[in-house]
Amino acid sequence: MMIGGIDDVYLFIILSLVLFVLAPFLGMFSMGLLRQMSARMQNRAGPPLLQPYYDVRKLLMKEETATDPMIGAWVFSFFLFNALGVIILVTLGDLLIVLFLLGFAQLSLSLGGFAGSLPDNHLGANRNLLRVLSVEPLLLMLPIAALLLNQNFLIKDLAVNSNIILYFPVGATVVIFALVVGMQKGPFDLSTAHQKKRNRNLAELSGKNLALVEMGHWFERFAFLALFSLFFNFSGLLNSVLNNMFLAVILDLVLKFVIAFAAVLVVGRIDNATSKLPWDRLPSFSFYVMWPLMFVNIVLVYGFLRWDWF
Amino acid sequence: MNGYETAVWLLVALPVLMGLLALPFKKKWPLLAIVGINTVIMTILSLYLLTALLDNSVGYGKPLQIKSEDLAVAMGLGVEGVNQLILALDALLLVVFIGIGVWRKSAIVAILGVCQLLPLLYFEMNFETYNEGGGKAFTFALDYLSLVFVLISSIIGSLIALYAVKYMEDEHKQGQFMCLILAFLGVMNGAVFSNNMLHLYFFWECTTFCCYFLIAHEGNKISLENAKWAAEVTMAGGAALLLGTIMFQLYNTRTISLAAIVSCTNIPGTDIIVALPLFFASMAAFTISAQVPFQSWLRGAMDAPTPVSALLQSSTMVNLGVYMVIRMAPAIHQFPWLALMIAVVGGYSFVSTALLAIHERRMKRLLALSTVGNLGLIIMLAAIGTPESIAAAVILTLFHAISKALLFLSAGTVQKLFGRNDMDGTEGQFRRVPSIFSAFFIGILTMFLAPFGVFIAKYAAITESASNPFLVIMVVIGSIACEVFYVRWLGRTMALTGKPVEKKTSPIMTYPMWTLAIGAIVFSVFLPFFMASMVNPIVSTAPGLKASEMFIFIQLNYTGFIPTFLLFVALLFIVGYATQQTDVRKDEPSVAGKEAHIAELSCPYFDDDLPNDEPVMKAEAVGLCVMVATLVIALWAGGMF
Repeated sequence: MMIGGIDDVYLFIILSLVLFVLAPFLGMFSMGLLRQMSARMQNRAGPPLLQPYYDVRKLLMKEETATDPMIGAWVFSFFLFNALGVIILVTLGDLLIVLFLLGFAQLSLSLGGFAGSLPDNHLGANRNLLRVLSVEPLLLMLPIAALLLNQNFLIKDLAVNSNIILYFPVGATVVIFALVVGMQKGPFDLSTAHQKKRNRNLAELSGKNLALVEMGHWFERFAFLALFSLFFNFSGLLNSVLNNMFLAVILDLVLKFVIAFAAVLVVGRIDNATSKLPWDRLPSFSFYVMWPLMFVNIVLVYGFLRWDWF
Repeated sequence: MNGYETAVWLLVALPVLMGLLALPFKKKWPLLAIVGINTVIMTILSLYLLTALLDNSVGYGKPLQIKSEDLAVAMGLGVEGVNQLILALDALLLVVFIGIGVWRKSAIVAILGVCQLLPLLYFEMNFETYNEGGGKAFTFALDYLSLVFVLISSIIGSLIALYAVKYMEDEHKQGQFMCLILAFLGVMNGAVFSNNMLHLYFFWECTTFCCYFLIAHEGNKISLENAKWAAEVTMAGGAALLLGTIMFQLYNTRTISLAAIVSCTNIPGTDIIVALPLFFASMAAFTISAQVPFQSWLRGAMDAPTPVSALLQSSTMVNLGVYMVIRMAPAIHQFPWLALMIAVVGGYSFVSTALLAIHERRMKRLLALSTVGNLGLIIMLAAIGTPESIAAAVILTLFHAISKALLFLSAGTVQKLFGRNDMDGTEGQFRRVPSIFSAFFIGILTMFLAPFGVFIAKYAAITESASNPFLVIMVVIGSIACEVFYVRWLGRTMALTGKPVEKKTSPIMTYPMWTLAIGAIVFSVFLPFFMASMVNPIVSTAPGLKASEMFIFIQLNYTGFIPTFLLFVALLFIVGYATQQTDVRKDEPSVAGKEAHIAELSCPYFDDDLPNDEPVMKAEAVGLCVMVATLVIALWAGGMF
């Protein structure tokens, strides 16, 4: 979903703005889509596509009953850092900073859970930390790829590099796993497991704070999908065919939307086709399967791109 | 002697003298006066040295030379007097170590003492230790790199000493304790200023000596065992350093002047024997910086009083190894196999300790593991040896020292207030002491968050280690694990439960903490200035490295650090406000009508409280294998066999 290769500043700003405004809605749609999808697969009618929006609208009208301002502070931080991550993402900034901000948003959510004094909160917060530990190193593969191919972390340069999927096919697979875990879908739905109806580390939240969490999740979903779509860049290819950068970029964006949509479908499919696993399978699966896969891919690319290892 | 020469000599001698002055006192106030005066003078002197350097173009190979002749003549010792004095003291110290070895029944200490005493004497008798290249006449050398370490030990170390006065007020033998603490600052400054490697070796032994008695201060069986083990490991390091020094003279540069060693970048031949002195020096650095195969002594040192742990781990002892690796980085960089071995050991220390620390619930042990990790990262960065990575190593050293000292002091205060040294003991109560909690909060944030120095160094580490897939993956996994264990610790302090208990803190304890907290933030704000004025001279004069003209790896742009920084300032205010609200929760939380206990229910994930040190032992064994394997592979790839 990224715009790359646009030289006109105003056009760039307008496109970034459009993407930023669209971002929470796209994230929201992806959530609605997933719920709709599992409903269809289970022969239910399911909630409407806009159900996440209705939820948030209702929550915003509720009365505030915060138990501790510390929880509110961290929830606000969760929303803020997700939004900032998306801003830097759509303005094609530094990929490592984007991932750091998104990661810190997750850590904020954990801290919010820890600030509550119910055991449930701490349970959820610990699980969230475990999720960060298992998944973040995999997501950091993308900046490493950017560094290897472009010698910097800028999304601006990465978004026009069409080679990335050729070099990092395993990387894209690994990121699908990160998407599944990041979206808290089965088989590794750690932080929402056991009781779907009660999001565990948010047990003390209500009203506007809970709405903030939901909206933070919209940005987060968008960011995850956008990061995945960064593996597939066609603008250079399209430009050579069409000889029109603007058209190429727009077409590239459309293709990225399609890819993100497909990724959502894949995640939904995995969610419904697999049974839930106990929490300790996630770190072991991550450590013993996904991290080595990532490692092998990176080592192969090193072997391919440069022989001098030091 | 001109002004800055006097300042250098004073920075080494004054703390030791002040320490001797403090020896007979047993009450808090005279000790506080002595330490306070010492803190003020050391701070002023080290800042004065900064101004002395700004006028001179000094660098790696051409430091400001601090001559010893004037002083030696003034003391009535003759021209070579200072060197002879140091040699005599060194021999005396080794005899003391042999005595300790016999007294405490440690054969290793005694044997290591003998093994160092004899070669040292033989070497001094038989070789003219200063010759061409070195500069016969100067004892101490001052440049920006040594100044960074001197600032760390003088200012941060003094603050810790100030804190120690209050912390130890109820203990016995306070005078002896403060004497050792202050002397430690002096010998650390001496080690960092030394240009002659034999002097560096002498001060190294001095730190071992102080370290032994500080760890053994409590006098019980455990602390004596820990002290013995620390002495054994660091003395082995000292032996390696002495061996390296002698080999420098015999095989490598034919001199033991550090300035000459690092500027001699075209040593004839790539024979393995030429690299051996550097190898031994780096092994010595591994022991004193507690890298993973040798890290066990640092965990033992954790049972000592908190100021000792803070002093050893943030501002003095362990920094010495890091200093040596950064100092010798240009020389090490001539031997890619050696650089690769050092980098892999550092990187492995970083990732393994970060993963181990996730399970740790004893606060000081967690900090010890994190120290080992951060030092590993610094060593890795120094060994990679690009200008950016060396700059990042220097920055990381500075910020790590500030934040780690702050965290140690917080942990110590909490231990003092609540009488518990694990996270469970403070759960639900820590936030009720906002003056401590806020400083602790800033300490944790500056350890891993974006606009602050440690993160910037990690950012550079990912960029610079990209030349090797193993290193980059270790950095990535280690960084995430670091975030996780810091957040977990921070999280365990977030909840408010139980009845509010009135806890009083002393300003003597909170003042050093708040100075460090403010320092961590202010240094992060002025990081570009700091890099331009202090780090850039270090890097641009490093011989054998390609000097980069535009030395900016931080993208201070609208998509990078500036918005992040603003946001974190906002976050500090938001959470700072929330921190002050400690009387919000009036009732006990309950689940299904029963009183809830967080510690019992919440943490089956990380807190399978390690019953023994088995995982650590495993990590050490693997670390040893990693070190040897890398060495063999790197040697083989380098065509040495």
